[in-house]
Formats: sequence, C-alpha cells, structure tokens
Amino acid sequence: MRDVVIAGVGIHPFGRFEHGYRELGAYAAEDCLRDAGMTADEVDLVLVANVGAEMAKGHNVIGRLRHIGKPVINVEAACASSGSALAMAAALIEAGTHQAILCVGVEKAPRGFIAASGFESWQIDNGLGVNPIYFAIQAAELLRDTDAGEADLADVSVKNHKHAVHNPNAMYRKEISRGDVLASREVCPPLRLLMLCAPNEGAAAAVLMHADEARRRGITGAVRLDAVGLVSKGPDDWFVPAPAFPVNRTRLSERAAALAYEQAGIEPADIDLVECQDTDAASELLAYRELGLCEEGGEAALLRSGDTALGGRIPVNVSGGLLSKGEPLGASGLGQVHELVTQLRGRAGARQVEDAKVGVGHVMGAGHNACVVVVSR
Amino acid sequence: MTTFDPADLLSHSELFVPAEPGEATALLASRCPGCARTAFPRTVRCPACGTGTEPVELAGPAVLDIRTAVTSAPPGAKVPAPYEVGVARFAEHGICVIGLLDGPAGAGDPVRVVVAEPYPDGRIFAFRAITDNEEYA
Repeated sequence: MRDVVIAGVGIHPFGRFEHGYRELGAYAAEDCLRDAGMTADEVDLVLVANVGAEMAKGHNVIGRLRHIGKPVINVEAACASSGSALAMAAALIEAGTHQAILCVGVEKAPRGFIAASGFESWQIDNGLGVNPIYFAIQAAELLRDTDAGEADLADVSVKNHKHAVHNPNAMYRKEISRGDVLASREVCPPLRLLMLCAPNEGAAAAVLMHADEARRRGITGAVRLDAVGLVSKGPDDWFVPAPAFPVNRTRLSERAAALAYEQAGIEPADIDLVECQDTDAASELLAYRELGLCEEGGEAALLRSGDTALGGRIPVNVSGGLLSKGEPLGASGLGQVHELVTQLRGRAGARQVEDAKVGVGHVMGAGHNACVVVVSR
Repeated sequence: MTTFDPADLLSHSELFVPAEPGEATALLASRCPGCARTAFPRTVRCPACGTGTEPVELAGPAVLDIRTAVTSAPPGAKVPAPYEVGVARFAEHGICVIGLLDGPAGAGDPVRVVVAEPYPDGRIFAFRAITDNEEYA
C-alpha cells in the first residue's frame, strides 16, 4: 500500500453511556476531523462500521455533524467491521479516486452474550449459538497442546488491566490480580469471566488521505497506513458460527498477517507494538503465534518473559486491550488504530511505548473475518 | 465443470438420522470426491472446491477432543443452563463437530452420536461416552 496516510484519529471512550449510538459516532467523527484540522464537508466519502444499530446508521451518525451530500456507506463484518472499512478506504485512496475518506466505527452493544452472531436456529435453540463456546474450544486446545496453563490465561488479563490504568478511553481501569481472575466465575471452562471481554459501547474514527493531499493541507502528525490484510473464510478455516471444522485447520489471522506483512514489506521483528483481538485471554496468546511474534508452543513463554508488557520488547495491548476497554464491535478495530497512531505520535503518556515506529492492529470476527493493519512513521 | 441448479441452495439438509431420544444416530454429512473434505451439515457442493458431493453418515465412534460447558443461558437458548458441550473428532472423515454432551464424558473418551431431548420436545444430536461394557458400533 503506497502513500496512504492516516491524517487524523478520534475516539469516544469505550464503556456504558446514556447517549445513543448516533451521538457516540458523531463525537468520535468530530474528534477525528478536529485532529486532522478538517470539517465534515471536506471528505469525499464516509464509511461507517457498525454491527447492530439500524438501517442507514452511518447516515444518522454523519447527519449529526453536517449534511455533506457525499456518499455514506455502511460496512459490517462483525468484529472486523472497522478493518473492512479501512481496507476499502485505503484501496480507494491508493487508486486515486478519493482524496479524503472518513472511517467511523460505532457500537452500542447490549450487555451480556452477543446475540445474532450468525448461528443457525438449531444452534441457538440447543444452546450452541454462543460465542464463548468457540473461544473456550480454542483455549482448551491451547492448554492441551502447549505448556500454557490457567495461570497464563489469568496473567493475560492481569497484564492488560494493568495497561488500562493509564488509558482514559478504557472501560475498566483498575489493576486485578491473578487470584481475582481465577476466582471469577466460570463462563465456558477453561474461560472465566475476567478472561473474557465485555461487549459494550464506544466509537472511534480515522481519516485517510493520500500523502500528497496531507502535505498539501499542511497536516502534521500523519501516520502511514502501510497495509490492510483482510481475509474471510478459506476452505479449512474455522470460527464463529461454524458447527464443524477440519481436523487439520488453517488460521484466518495467520493469513491476514502474512498478507499485511507482505504489503508493508515488514517482518514480525520490525514491529514495535501490537493491538490484538483479546476477545478472551487465550485469543491473545494465539495471536502471538498467528501474528508471528513467537513459534507455535512459545505463546506462554513469550507472555511470561514480560516481552509483551509495557516496557517489554514487543508490547501487546498497551491500551488495555478489549479485555479492559470492552468491545464495541464495530468500533474495536478503529479503536486499535487510534491507539497505534497515538503511540506512533508519542502522545500516549504513561502508557507510551518508547520510540514506537511500527504498529500492528489485529481483529478477528464472527462469520470468519480477520484483518491485520500495519501503520508506521 | 459441473453446473448446479441454483434451487439446490434453497433447501437444507437434516442434521441427523431420525431416532428417539437416547437412541444412537448418525450425523448427515457430505464428502467431496474431488478434495476428500467432509462437510457438516451436508452440502450439495463442496464448499472448498465446488465439486458435487456424496452423502456420508458420521456414526462414530468418535473421540471427544474438547469438553467445555455453558454456565448461564445464552440469548434464545431453549436448553436450561448449565449444560456441557464438546468437540467430537471423526478422524476417518477428517472433521470435528461441536455438540451437546449427553451424560458424563471426558476429553479423550470415545463417544457415539445419540439423539438427545435437551428441552421438552426438542431433538438434537449429542455425544455420549461409550462405556467399557458396550460394544463399539
């Protein structure tokens, strides 16, 4: 991907709020436009990522800012909705058909288990239509096939919650202990409540431009968008909501990462920080492997080494991750981009990763979607 | 290249051979003569390579690879929580299937496919451990 930059980012904190999705989205969009020194009417196209709102949701969000008369397109791909919007925006900027595209991710998810993840009615009736079963299967495989244990799962949550103390946009900002996690109630063994992220509310935004356009506008602090690797289900992949999978299966996130690294011309060793889909604690450990941060079987060792904590060699989820921020589905990917850009600009305060130059974001969602984003300065 | 009637895509396969609750059954799957992959639920064409499939039944015995549970009722479920869920590996078909567990079973146990009634008048396939004194089907 050549000469595509993120000219500005914006966010509405993740959590639980009284106002509706339109206000959340509009807030993040305005925060982003202000960051880029622009107004809404200066963008050529708006892409709005959202899973559960209503018809014409993006139009209702942007209508809060300005009646821009330009196309507004709604994008949905479960947890990879934001990533999908970014992929499309980046391709259009690169193709030269658009000069400035605003991507907004927004969600106001109900409490508790996520409903409507694409399960068949027989799965729902019989109690099989519930996402944590899928996360628990992956977690149980990880515990069976590697030396990772329940304490390691707990320690992922401990690490990310410790990071979140310094993130004003996170939902949970208190440190927790391994004991707290292991004492929390079982949801789907081996996963306990504090090993799972909470679906919640929030919004995030980014405005994409060609590098020349950003220069022309005198925008400082733009960050390069080097790659967006987006994939859907291949013949041997498995995720929510498929009721069966091949004995020898492939991994969507691994393919998305390979695509993104190739586009960006980087190797895992070049990465300074990662924001990954820690839907549950085991998913973060699996992401270490899938994103090439360690070999298969080395996931727990990488965590225990402290390398993935703030101050370590390759910090993961310094924002607090979804485990601490919560997961507003449509906004989570752009939330990661907000964090990566903030880090690369050196504006992350107490959670700053020293001299961060290359950042990677990773989301994985129901319906078999994975997206890996590479940003750099 | 085989062509297909689009109408084939409008129908869907039953999940298992009808039987009474507690009785043995088999999952209705399909096998691709082209790439040898098995699909469950059954499909008309192979989702991996597009070849027309052949019907196949997964009766087991299978091996219970993973055992987990659901401790509080998910949205829409008619099954009262808590209940147990497992992944059964049908090694000869190269496929793993997620289903309810019928009775106690642990990871590594051989299991068969049975019909369960997890809620009044509900019928669904489930995996049940094969006991020592029971002959493998």
